[in-house]
Amino acid sequence: MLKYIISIFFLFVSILGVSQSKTIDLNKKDSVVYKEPYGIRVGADLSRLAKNFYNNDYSGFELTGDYRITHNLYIAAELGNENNTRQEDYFNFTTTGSYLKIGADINMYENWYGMNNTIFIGGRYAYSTFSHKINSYQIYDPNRYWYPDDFVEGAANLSEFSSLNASWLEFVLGTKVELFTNLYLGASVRLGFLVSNKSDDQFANIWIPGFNKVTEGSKFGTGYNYSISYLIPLYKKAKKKKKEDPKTVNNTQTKN
Amino acid sequence: MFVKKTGILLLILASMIISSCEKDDICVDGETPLLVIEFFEFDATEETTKAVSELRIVGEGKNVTVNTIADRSDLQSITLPLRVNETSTTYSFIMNSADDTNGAETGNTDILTFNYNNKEVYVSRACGFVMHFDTLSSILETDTENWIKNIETTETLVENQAVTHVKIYH
Repeated sequence: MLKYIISIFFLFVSILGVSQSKTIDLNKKDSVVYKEPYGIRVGADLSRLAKNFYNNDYSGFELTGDYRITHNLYIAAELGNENNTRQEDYFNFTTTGSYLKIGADINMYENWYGMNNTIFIGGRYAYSTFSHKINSYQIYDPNRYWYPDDFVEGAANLSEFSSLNASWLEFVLGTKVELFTNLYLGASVRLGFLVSNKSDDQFANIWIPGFNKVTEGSKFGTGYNYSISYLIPLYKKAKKKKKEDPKTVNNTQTKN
Repeated sequence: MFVKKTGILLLILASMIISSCEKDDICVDGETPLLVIEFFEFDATEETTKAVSELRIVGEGKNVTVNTIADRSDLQSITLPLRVNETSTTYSFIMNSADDTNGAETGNTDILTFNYNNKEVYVSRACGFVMHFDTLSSILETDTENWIKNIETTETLVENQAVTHVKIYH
């Protein structure tokens, strides 16, 4: 029995010897070319979803999407609907409306092998249609002769200010990280610059869906989102090789 | 990478600065205007101002004098608050106001009613809404001895205090 085992042992040794007859290339070039996934990535903003639960004055959502065109260029868009009530010092109002942002993201981050993360800068053109409703208001009258205690509640029923719209340009800085295959977690901060702002004669647009708070005398607005998105892979494409790398060229030559 | 990180930090910082510093936190843009009244000499051929001596003004149903003027002083121009939730405000204008030994008023009391329409106007985030008054008219209640001879509503729209709205001749 032992004889056989020893014989088998020698048999393996001989095979090993055969495989070692070939010289080991210690500087072997990876012949597997990594192909990057291309497709449509769809998702939703987690911060707006969460706000529905912790903020009674807010309901709304934002859908996000992008489509990869080249190695680092994406067409991106956001679509949202918001219903937000704000309490100011002397009035309370609700803004309801939808918005669409369309633009592009450029990935500034060079991934390691097999990774599909992005750190991007982007731009958007955004358009929002909305309406305001004054829920309650007080008349700002500092004289306390007729009303010794407080400002008078507004009596006239201020109607809803509807068919308002605004458009703005948005600068985006963000990141998307692949958590699991095709599932991405993203975050972005946004700086908006109002281009057009159609308001009612009797009220100003001091909050715009998608743009957030509008400061009087300023055209800038800020925003952010935390997105969770899923990549629907359509095809895979390898990144174009850079030809200027001399080492790669040398290696290929010696191999040939 | 360092440049990128600095860029992100700068953007976050800029966003915080832009979103937190507001010029519209305090109401400075406007408030509900007071009614501006000027007193003139009735008999003069040319319009000449004439102060009312020891003027006291009390709102209808109020037991305190109006807080916008110095009580029982000689005044040639005054401002009065209008009621913002009503379309009329009535004041007692008392000339030569004084008390007798029993504490009763001895001055000449004329009752003036101002009628108007309310117009709510949005000013700003900090101020909210203020009231403007338009189609202003002034009605003097006639009594046996009116010290006010004539009233002229020169400006029917009350939206600021830069102009005189009502001229009273006496």
